[in-house]
Amino acid sequence: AAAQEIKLTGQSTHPPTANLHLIFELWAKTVEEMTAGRVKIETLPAGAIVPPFEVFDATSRGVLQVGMGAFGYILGKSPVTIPLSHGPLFGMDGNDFAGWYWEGGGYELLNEFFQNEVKLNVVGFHVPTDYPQGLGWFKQPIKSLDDLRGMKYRIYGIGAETFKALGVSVVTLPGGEIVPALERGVIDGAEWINCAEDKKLGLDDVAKNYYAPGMHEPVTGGHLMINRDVWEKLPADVKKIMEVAIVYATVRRNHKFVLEGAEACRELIAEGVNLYRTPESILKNFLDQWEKISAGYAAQNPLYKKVIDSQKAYAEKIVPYRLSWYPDYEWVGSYYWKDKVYAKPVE
Amino acid sequence: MSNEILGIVLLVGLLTGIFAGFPIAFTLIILSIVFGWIGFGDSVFYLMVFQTIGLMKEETLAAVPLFVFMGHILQQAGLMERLFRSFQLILAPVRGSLYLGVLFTATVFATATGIIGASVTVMGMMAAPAMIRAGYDPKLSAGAIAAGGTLGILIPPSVMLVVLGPVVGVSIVKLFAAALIPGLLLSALYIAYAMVRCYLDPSVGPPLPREMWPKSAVEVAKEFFSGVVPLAVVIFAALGSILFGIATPTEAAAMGAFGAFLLTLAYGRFSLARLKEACLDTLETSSLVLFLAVASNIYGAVFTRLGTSRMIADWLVTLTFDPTIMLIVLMVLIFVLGWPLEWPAIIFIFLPIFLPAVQSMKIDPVWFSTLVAVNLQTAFLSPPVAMAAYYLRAVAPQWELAWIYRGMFDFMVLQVIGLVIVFLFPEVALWLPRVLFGS
Amino acid sequence: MNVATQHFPESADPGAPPFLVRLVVTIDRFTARSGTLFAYIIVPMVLAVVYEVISRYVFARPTIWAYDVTYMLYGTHFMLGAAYALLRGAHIRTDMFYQNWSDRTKGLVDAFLYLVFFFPGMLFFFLMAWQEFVHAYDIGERSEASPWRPLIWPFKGVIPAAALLLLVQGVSEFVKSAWAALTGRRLV
Ligand code: NA
Ligand code: NA
Repeated sequence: AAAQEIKLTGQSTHPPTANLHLIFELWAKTVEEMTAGRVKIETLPAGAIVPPFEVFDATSRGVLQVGMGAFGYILGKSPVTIPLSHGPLFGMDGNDFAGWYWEGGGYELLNEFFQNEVKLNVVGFHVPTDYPQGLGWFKQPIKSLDDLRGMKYRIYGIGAETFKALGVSVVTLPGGEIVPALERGVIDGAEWINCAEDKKLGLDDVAKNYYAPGMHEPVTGGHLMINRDVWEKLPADVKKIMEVAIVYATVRRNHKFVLEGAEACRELIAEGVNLYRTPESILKNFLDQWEKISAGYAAQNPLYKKVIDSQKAYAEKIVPYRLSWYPDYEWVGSYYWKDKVYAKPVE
Repeated sequence: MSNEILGIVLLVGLLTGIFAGFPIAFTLIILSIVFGWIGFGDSVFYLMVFQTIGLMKEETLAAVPLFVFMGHILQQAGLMERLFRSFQLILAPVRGSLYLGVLFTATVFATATGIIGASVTVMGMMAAPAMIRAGYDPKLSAGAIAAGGTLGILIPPSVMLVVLGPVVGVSIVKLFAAALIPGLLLSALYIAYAMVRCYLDPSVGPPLPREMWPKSAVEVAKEFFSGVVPLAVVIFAALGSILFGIATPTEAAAMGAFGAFLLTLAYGRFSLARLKEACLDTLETSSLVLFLAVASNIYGAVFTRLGTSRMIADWLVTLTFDPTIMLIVLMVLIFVLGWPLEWPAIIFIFLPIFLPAVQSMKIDPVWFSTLVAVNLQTAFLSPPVAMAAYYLRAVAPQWELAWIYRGMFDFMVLQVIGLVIVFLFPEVALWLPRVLFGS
Repeated sequence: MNVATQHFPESADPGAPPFLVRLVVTIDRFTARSGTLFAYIIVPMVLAVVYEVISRYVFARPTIWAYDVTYMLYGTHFMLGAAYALLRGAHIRTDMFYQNWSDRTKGLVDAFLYLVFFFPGMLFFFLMAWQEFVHAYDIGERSEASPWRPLIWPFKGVIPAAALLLLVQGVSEFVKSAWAALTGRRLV
């Protein structure tokens, strides 16, 4: 049959300059190139056709044929979104996490999640990105959980849930209110993504103490979805091209993201931002508390338990192996670059 | 018929439907459904629901009913009009004193909130009755309130700049700084225009008749402290709580409503019957304002999904111009698109297409964004989808829509003058961000 | 002045069939009463937000629930109020031509547009919103906005409810316009 042109309309949950959206664009461009222009995918930013929080439902209902989003946007649909998108991941990083999806049974569980748990009529691809994420910006320096407890801190998702349980004054604010609220002192601290993305938002203009890492989102589980009816009608070669292209777009964009993050952090420091390593005690408190909350979800939701058991089993193979076999990143890194580390430890 | 052409037919259908006089909200909804369905099938029905749920979850828009409630409580107690009557009494000999009051209050409102639905309705409730009673020209009055009310979308904080920043890739805080002076400049232009009109023709803003002038300084002081101060304290406390970092705009609106309630208690004007009336009036006003916003969002989304705007933009990008001409063409286009559309549709669809061209021409993104923002503010004022006019009409039913449109037109001309000033003198936008944040 | 006193039957057109008058009066009264109920939603909305501000600013203890409660009350308030606004004739019209028409012409245009614009639009609105509501109920959907995470399907149920209320009030408005179109007189 003659090659028929396929036109698809897609939208993401993110603004046009966000890394997640750039992966989306690169994917569409790659698909178009690989099909010699046979497949054209429109990649609209958040809000163009549906509001960002409705992208998943809209793709399922066919309002969008393609959707790109982070599972945080449908956290309310099911707690299983937490381990499927960002963990904490039992010590795995974004790369290991992608490994779990491809080699550890993640895709089978993802399918089960879409079909039975949240009943969305989509086919999805995991897009690990924006990792790792910082703890956020604070007007005053913090040394311990107690300092954090005295502050009004804007954070989202399980970060909010866990810090709230730890007695921190967690504030919920819509995205657009974060910068004005921090500037005027409605809040004392706010979490967003990393040096590059936070700089785009202008957080460096309203606070000067920046802490990394956080434990609430070791990776952002982005998600590329195609409406299932649309997917089933696609020719086999296009399906394969789409799958290959998302892996390619994610890997390529993520390398850039690391580079951009490094440059942005250096620029922030040059303009007077204090970049600190988050005190380990805060991270430990966080994980201790999170594991309790997570156990509660596991007791209530069988699929949640199934997913974290599967991840744990995979992490148990990978993480101890990496600890045993890979050179210690900190040791070998410090051997060469000890004097160049950006972040200051909290003294 | 291609989808893109269908979008143009949608525009024509919109004009016909709207001018037949059927409620605009329902006209927008049905036209979106019909054309969406022809263009891209059944999914248009769901699109409608997603847009609705999205607007219902916008916590920032809760400020609309809350500010409206504040207004109705004060209105029920007769305190709202009193503010502007007192203001006029104090400035008795001055022509057009109420324009001054309206535009000044609107500017303060704009520095505290970014939600025009709230500021136009509240300004309308406060000032329209006083302006009508004082025999002010309805067109100029309506224009001043509508245009003044839309300043909030330009003067920071502004939802529009928050959305625009990431699209253009400029820090939102820098955009805030860049938009401040142009916003204040427009406010000054509005005031100057209204005052000159009154100077040339006192009948558009007559001074208080001589026999009503206050007899003594004591009377003025009394009126000031009893009529202006308490209410001004409530309103400015609400807005001040935003500026001083105590509250978000939504919270400030609730604090304002609560403060208004306390004020009616203090004035001995509280009764359950009045509270009930205030609640019912609030329901009526905010339902029509927000339901219309839902309808306008659905319409904008269908228009986007049809791809008409992309077609126009793609075609334009293929033409090559010298950068200045290109920028002027772009500004004219955004201005024209603002008539049938509101700002989100324009920001999401047009800007991303033109951005590569703008970037390759080495145009300063902060300056460019400011031009776009000033330009987009006119979208609220331009019929047939002119939200500011509808919101004002909702609280000032005595004013015909045709008058409101006519009055807004003059202010749109001022808006264009403001745009030209920012265009010719980029420093108007660039000076403050440079001083605050370096180059 | 807000209760629709003009809709009591005493003012009804004497030539009108009683069942028609009764239908319109019953619907209008229902919308006025339910609207009064929805109007009071603004009061807990104010109190919830004021409580949050005081709790956060004075005691540095933000609540976990205020954010969700605020938008849920706000969304419920204006959506359910849309039918009341229709009863009150509040939804804005472009009246440049409309206002110069006779009651009969207005009735004719309105009756026609209620049939071709209003009912189909609101019917689809209801049907689709109902499906989304059922889906949300089915998966026990919660809010994702804050760590409080309350159930959100009742909130999604507000949309079909609002569409239904609008459809009901639309019947009354249609009958009123059709009567004016036929007779040139007001029904009630
Ligand atoms: Na503003
Ligand atoms: Na417009």
